[in-house]
Amino acid sequence: MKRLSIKVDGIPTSYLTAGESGPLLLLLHGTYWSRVWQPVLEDLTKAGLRPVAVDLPGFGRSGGAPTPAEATVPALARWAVRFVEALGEADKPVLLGGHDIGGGIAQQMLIDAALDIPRLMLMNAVMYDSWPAPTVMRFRDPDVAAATTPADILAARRQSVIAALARPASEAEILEWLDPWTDPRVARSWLSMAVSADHRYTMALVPALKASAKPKLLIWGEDDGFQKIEFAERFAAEIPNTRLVRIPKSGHIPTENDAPRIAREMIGFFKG
Amino acid sequence: MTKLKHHTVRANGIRQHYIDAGEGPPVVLLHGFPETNYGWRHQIPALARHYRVIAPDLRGYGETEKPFVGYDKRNMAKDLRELMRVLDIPKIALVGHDRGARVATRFAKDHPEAVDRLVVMDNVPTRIVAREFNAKMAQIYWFFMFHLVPDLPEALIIGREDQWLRHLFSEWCYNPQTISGDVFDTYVAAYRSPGAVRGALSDYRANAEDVAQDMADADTKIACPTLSLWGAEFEGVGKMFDMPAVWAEMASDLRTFAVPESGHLVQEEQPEIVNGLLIDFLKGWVG
Repeated sequence: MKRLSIKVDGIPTSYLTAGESGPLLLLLHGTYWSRVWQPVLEDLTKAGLRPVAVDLPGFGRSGGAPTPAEATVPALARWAVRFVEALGEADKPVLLGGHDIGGGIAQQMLIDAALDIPRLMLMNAVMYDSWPAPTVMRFRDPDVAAATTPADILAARRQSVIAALARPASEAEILEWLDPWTDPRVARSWLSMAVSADHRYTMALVPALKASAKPKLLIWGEDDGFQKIEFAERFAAEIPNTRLVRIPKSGHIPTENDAPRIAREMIGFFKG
Repeated sequence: MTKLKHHTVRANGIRQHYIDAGEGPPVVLLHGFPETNYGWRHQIPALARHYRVIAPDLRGYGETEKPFVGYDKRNMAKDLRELMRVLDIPKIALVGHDRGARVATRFAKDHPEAVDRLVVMDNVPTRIVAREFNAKMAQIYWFFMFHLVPDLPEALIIGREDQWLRHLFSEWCYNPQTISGDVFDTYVAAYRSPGAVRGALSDYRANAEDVAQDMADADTKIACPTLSLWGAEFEGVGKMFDMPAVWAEMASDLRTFAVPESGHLVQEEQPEIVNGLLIDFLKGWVG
């Protein structure tokens, strides 16, 4: 596994990847960062896929600091296309996975069809009007957002990380997860995404999703208190060609609870 | 800010470490597994406003000595009785959780003159576990059997104490992330200290003696006021047993409470509720 960087819109963009060949599997994060995909990358590579877990602008290890307008689901979907273009892969099929708001971005990309996306995987993703979660929603109040300091965001992310891991975590693990947000620029970027979190984007995609026959896989940590499994059940029932895989005893970031199982399911789906 | 003092004294032939805080009638807190007296950190300041709180690390745990023998509950109760002698304390209010509740129960039966009132937290008494054991219980009490296997658990656990503890804390808490960050690290460090895994396993491996002791005086009920409380959501205790009936077999002056939104670690998961219950139950204990 390695971390590489490439410029998108002139801004250094960081991504985790492994393997040299095989079909590109683009993995998007939401209110976290590329770290959510790290536990499955090696297994995906061994199976012959080429996973690329990118840090959105202003997130994780990427540069930049998006405005709220640049951090909406449609804007980030257009940005992700430019990222794939920068990789020189835009003329080939792109396998796609998204977590949390990254799953909203992925749904948008499937429907926008600027890229050839043959298969879509969503992991504890936003959909319908499942979001924003209360922990994100409160920042949509302009007064709250204006009064929020980077230290406030770091403290709030700490609570969310602990809850999302859904298991005892060492202090070192928690600090590793939080590390990007110790940079005030990254904390402000998170706030831009929070301010722009709006379920109208995913609701608008529902009719097109209902007409989409492309294979879709939902991977869901059953005990997620942020993105509840009832939404995944509804998606699996309403959206054609969708299979739901429930990951028991797992929370919002199920790759932290059962990475081997999730890697197996992803490999079976994307190589199928 | 409560002043916590850590002491080590020699009693019943072993070095015993304990926390001593506050002044007033003495209240002793006995922790369980997989914890140490650190598990009482939410209770000690609250109780020390009214009482002298003494929270030892049990034989084999934390900073207390981890001898190779002496883990039957009669002897572990004697550890406390001898600690009281050293500290010149004739009578206590006694609170025990999990393994500490087994020690506390044995203490109340062996030394009734030395206990004014008893609290047992999230614990099914030893002989009742033995009597009711079946395939369904074995699924949840697997560790009970696993810890009894000689030597193999040490071989599998040592060096992976974090995985052992992560699994247990996840399974036993209502919110699986309750024990996170510095708190988790503190327990991992405690169970990584030399002899700590063997010490805790030795506590379990005294099971045959513990059952025999508990059977021998099964007809004698604990007479002092007793409060049994448990986590309403823990599969292995509150959801599996009719707890008021279970403890009615053990104690004649009993009250009970199911702590909501809590698993096994009631005192860590719902400290405010537990502190309120303790303070209420301890009213009238004047030393």
